[in-house]
Amino acid sequence: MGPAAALTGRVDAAHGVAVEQAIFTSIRSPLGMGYRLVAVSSGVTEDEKREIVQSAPSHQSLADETPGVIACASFPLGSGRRCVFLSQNAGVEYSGRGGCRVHTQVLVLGADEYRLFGCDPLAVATAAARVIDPEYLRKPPTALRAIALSPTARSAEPYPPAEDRLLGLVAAVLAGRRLLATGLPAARDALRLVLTALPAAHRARLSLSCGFRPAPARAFQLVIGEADTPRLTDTLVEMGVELWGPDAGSATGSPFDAWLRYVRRQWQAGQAGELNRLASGLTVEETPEPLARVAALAEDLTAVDTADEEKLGSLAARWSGPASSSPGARQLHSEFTAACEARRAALAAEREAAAAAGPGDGSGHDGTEPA
Amino acid sequence: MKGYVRCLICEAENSDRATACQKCHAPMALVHEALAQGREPRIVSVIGDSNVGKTVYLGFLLDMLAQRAENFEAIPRGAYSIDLPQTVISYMAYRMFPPKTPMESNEWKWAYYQVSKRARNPKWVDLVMPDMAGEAIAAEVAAPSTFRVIESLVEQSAGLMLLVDAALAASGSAQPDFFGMKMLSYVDALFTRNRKKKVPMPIAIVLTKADHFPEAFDNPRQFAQANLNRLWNMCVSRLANYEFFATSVVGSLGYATAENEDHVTPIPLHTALRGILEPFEWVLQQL
Repeated sequence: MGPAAALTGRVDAAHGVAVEQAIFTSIRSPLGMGYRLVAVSSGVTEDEKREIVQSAPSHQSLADETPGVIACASFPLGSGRRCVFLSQNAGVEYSGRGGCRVHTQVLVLGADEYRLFGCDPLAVATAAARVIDPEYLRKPPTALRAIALSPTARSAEPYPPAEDRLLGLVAAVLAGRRLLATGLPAARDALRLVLTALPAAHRARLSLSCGFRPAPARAFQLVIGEADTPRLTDTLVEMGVELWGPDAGSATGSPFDAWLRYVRRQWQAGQAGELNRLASGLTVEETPEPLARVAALAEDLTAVDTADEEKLGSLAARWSGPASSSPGARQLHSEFTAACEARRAALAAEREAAAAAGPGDGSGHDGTEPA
Repeated sequence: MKGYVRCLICEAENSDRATACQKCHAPMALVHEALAQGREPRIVSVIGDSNVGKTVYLGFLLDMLAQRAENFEAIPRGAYSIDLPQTVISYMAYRMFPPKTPMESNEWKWAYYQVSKRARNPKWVDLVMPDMAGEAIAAEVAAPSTFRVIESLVEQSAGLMLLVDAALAASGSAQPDFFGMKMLSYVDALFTRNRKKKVPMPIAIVLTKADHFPEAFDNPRQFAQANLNRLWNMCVSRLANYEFFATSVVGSLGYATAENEDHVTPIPLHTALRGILEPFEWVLQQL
């Protein structure tokens, strides 16, 4: 994709979407010292800069300061756009007072652009990693322009093994509860799995952080991390954040039971990627009933391959109505329709083959020997 | 309203069982202490740019007061008030500067002290002194209402200590001067609507790291006029009650690096406190 396409602001999955960017870190420069926005592309508004600075991570805010480990946060801005933080250790902080320099790549994208990424901040991170100059980490620039990110970029990383207890976390997020999820040592893996189970309609509203030390300034709906002091825990609880730990209840009894059962089956079958593809297209399904319908359709799709005529007929009749308006549900419905037609054709071919083969295997129906 | 108390800093309503204000994250213990004392505490804010020395200055100041330097007596209210001096003294004892203060306000250290100078009729003053992150102050000055807790703190302050890096200024950098000017401009905008009126609040302009330029101790005003001229002019134009002071904490400074590293770490080899109490004493006298 050329630079012209990159900066036109065109929302186009094929050519990449224009995304504003900024860098928040601590450097000494002629214009200032310490943590601040050291470079911002021109499309970020003053109000957005203010909101970014209010939530941006500063000294000792990374839960894991190992070089290369990236913490992620995503939250909606007052302008309606979406902000994504990608933060990591960038070496020693200039003042030499211990701790690392936290380098945060800030990405600001519109609601439509974010939907192209399935409202998945990790997908945005994958796309950004392929475009952003790694030299920025060592030497942050003083000026930035908008960049083009490709929504088709996919992480080659396999999904981690599923954990049943994460279903409880998914259920809580779907119910709209504010959570500090603790006791998840592989925080990023947990987030990847949880996101596969959240429909895009939920993800579009979800604010989250993973890999940061929790702070009231980043008391998002879903925070994956450890509150390292009782005082911080108390502060977050008083703000209405629930602590979700390893002993948290399971997902049983959730209004989203039908959807969660489907999620569990997909996770256990190693189909997290397929689940994510489906969930990324569910842009209107938010409440239990439509999600239950999607889960039921997905289950019935798997039943088509082995259905007999009668079963096939009843499956087709069940889903003969119009599909939901979301791209994911429409895609699933198309796949179901195509699968039914293919199965019908296969059954018809079997019938014809059976008819052509004759009345039997040589023994004859009337017991006489063949001529 | 029963079961609710107002935050001392931002006046937001919080449950009387809350440990921190839901809006500005200041400890609610401040309110409870103030209620227990039955008198309104005075807020003295220590402000300054990043890396100017606020944490070190305030930590040593509180420690000196607690050790009854210069006939002062200071009683900390709440164990949290001792966190800051303990952190600073402990780090400096190991020849390290204390860690950078994070921008997240829940990480700031707050001190609530009852202070008086020994006299026949000592006058006790309750002081609240927060240790704020310089970057948060700079962000608030650059875009007001970014960190409302800072706006509230400055608005409610009975006195200010504006710390300015004398070493940087003496070496020719204009950054301390510009920051000081911006800071006073911000304060001016908060306190005065009428251009004919000056800011009435006492403001001590404290020249830190003056050990790099000891002449600053002889005549801080002259130093400021020569090396921080923009700030000086702002003071003359807009402040009704101000004074300049020079201060220093470090006796000698070393610099450590390694062959395979591209950074230099400053090492405070020993402390030699100078001019720590004077700015505070002056502000207290103005209250």
